[in-house]
Amino acid sequence: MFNQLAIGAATSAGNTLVVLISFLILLLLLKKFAWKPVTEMMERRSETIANDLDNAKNAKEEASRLATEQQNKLADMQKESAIIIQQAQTNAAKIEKDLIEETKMSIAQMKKQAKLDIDFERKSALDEAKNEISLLSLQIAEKLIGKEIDNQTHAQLVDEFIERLADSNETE
Amino acid sequence: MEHETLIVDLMGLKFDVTTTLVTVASCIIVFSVVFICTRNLQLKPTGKQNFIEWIIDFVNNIVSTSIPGKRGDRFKLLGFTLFLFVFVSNMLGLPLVLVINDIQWWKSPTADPIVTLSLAMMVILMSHFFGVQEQGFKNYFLNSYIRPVPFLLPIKLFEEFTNTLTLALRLYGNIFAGEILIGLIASLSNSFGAVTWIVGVPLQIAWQAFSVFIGSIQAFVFTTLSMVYISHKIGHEETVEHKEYVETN
Repeated sequence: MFNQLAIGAATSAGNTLVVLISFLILLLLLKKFAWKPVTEMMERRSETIANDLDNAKNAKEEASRLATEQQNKLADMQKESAIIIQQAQTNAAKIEKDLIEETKMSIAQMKKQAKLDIDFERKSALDEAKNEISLLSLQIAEKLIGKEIDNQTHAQLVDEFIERLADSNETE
Repeated sequence: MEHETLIVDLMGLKFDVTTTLVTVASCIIVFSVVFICTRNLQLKPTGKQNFIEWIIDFVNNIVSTSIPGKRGDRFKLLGFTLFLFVFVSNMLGLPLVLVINDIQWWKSPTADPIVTLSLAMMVILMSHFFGVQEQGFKNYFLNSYIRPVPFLLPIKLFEEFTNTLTLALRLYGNIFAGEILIGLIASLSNSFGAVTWIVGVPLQIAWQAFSVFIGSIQAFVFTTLSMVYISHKIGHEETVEHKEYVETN
């Protein structure tokens, strides 16, 4: 023990220098090659984690906000659709009523028109019949008269007849 | 257990070759391990990066227990280097104590009192330096030696030296004793050739395991006490900052 201490005394200054210098070199080397990158990485990691947590919180809030928004929208749409359906129903009822009324009106008009047409037809048929009768009666009268009629006089007679007919038509 | 060591005389300064060798070896081992573990750093750590970050977190906790808040940040690298250097130094002598022709070539650097005294001296000098830097010379002097009561001045002055000595000799004593016992058990194992290995080898295994434990504890204690001494020197305005630290956390 004393022996070692005696030796130690002789070399203590040199050994102290060796220890201090090598320790300082080690410290500087570690700082340059290991400490800075590792601590930077650890800081970056804690920042990233904090950011991620914040982002997750924001995303959650956003999601719940969107969900309530969607629910509100859905409720609004349901209300709106109910209103639309109701409107459609009232419209349909109104249209039905209008249609029925219109149809009734047009039927009445058509009936009226048909009555008019029938009257007109009857009248014209009567007129025609009258003309026919008068023509027949004329022919009968001619036959009764017994007058020989040649072609020329026949034509004259026809003209006369047509004239008379026209006159009778005009006077009517 | 005392052996001669090779001594080199360089420009009037005498160097102990063994201590130089093992100190440099310890530095190289620490640097290599840390260097390898910090290659290819990822945001999502795996394997070796987890390991080195675990050690860094461990040391950071030691530092921030003594020096809380932002002020502790500048001492974290010092704590990290101290812890790893002392730990590896403690381990170096466990697997191998090499003595050739009564000259010792390999041992723990921390089994040399000069090495531990150098480290302790460095830490104590740093604590004074940082004390002056943080609070100015006047406050440093008042807080370190005069307050709370002036008549404690001699004891406080004396304490600076005992701090250095206890810090160094605690480490030295533990590791040196461990190596002595390793040597004793080894010579016991070899006393009757291979027959005594039956007793010696399990004993040696048990003692080496215990020495690993002691070496880790001593590295932890050395780092912790270094930080405590530094915090004593810089930490008198701590009360306010500490409150803030507690409140903000």
